[in-house]
Amino acid sequence: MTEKTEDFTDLQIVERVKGGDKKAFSILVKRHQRGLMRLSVRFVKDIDMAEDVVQESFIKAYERLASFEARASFKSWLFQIAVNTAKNKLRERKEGTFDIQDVQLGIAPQAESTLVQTSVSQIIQKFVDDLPQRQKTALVLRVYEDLSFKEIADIMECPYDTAKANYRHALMKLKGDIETHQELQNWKEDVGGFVMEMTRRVVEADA
Amino acid sequence: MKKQTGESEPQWWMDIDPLAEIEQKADNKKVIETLEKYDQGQIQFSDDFFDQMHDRIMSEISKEEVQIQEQPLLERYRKKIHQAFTMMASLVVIMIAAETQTRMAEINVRETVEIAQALGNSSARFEHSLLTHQNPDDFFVDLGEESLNHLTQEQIHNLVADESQN
Repeated sequence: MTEKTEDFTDLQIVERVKGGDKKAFSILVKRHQRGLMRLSVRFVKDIDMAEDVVQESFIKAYERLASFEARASFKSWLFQIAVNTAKNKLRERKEGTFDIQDVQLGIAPQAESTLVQTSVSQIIQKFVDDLPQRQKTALVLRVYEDLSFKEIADIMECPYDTAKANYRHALMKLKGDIETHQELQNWKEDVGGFVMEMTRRVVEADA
Repeated sequence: MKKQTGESEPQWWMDIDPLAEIEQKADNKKVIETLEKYDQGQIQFSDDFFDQMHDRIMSEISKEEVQIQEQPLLERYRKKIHQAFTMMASLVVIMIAAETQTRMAEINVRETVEIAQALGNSSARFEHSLLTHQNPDDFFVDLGEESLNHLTQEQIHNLVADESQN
């Protein structure tokens, strides 16, 4: 009985693609596009741009497949390409900081004004975005993508301890920011959930 | 011997406060929970969205001009080149340090030889400069000499006799 291509590991598929089986790359795209999209949205804060980042990252990965030596996992390598592509995109746009309005694409002005109010989520998101780039990268990869420090170190191209230190510093900085922010002391707990739900609905409607 | 004060000296390991460590971990957990709770990035995309994205990527890849690029020779040996470069740089630094030390030693030898030669050429001046050189010991020798000049012959004999008895 022959094994299905879908059951192959990333490395096995990479070898097949390197061997000339272009179609096998489709499995890698299907496996990783969701994670990559999630990551890209977090970095560029713009759905259109995030789509571009994902697409470009996969094409770059395909073109550079010969240089992939499996020292890190394919996922880490792909994420590394995506993080660098996102950084370049942001640099091109000359905008390193996040504007919440960029995420809520196509929202009616009234709904937008409701969402854009200083909610807990937005304040916290602002704190995250104000972190130094490397701290933010480590934090996003760890907290939201649940990656190991080994994977984070591979993606950030730095030693294991540096990745961990960046993550810890990010947490400490956020703790200080959250504790000292007056509005966060008084805010209703369900506001964040409300914003999340609204954002989800808006994006679904827009898609 | 160390004085017993009853108070223990501060130990370096006392700085690691296990309670503070636990507190720090709890704080981190709280921050992570807050981040997860108020996460705005969990945008849900439909399956259609990803199907379309997949198709676009695969259609790009299937284009003739998109090919797996041959790894450039430089890229292939990048790590080895980097190692070789680092090794060479270290070697150059060591060689420069050794060269500097040798030069310093040469200068020292040359200076010593020059001094010796200069002294050889004018030994009278050298003698004079050595003799006129004074240090605190010379001062006491002078003082002793001065005192002896004031002693009588008999007193000097007595002193010498005492010294020989000792």
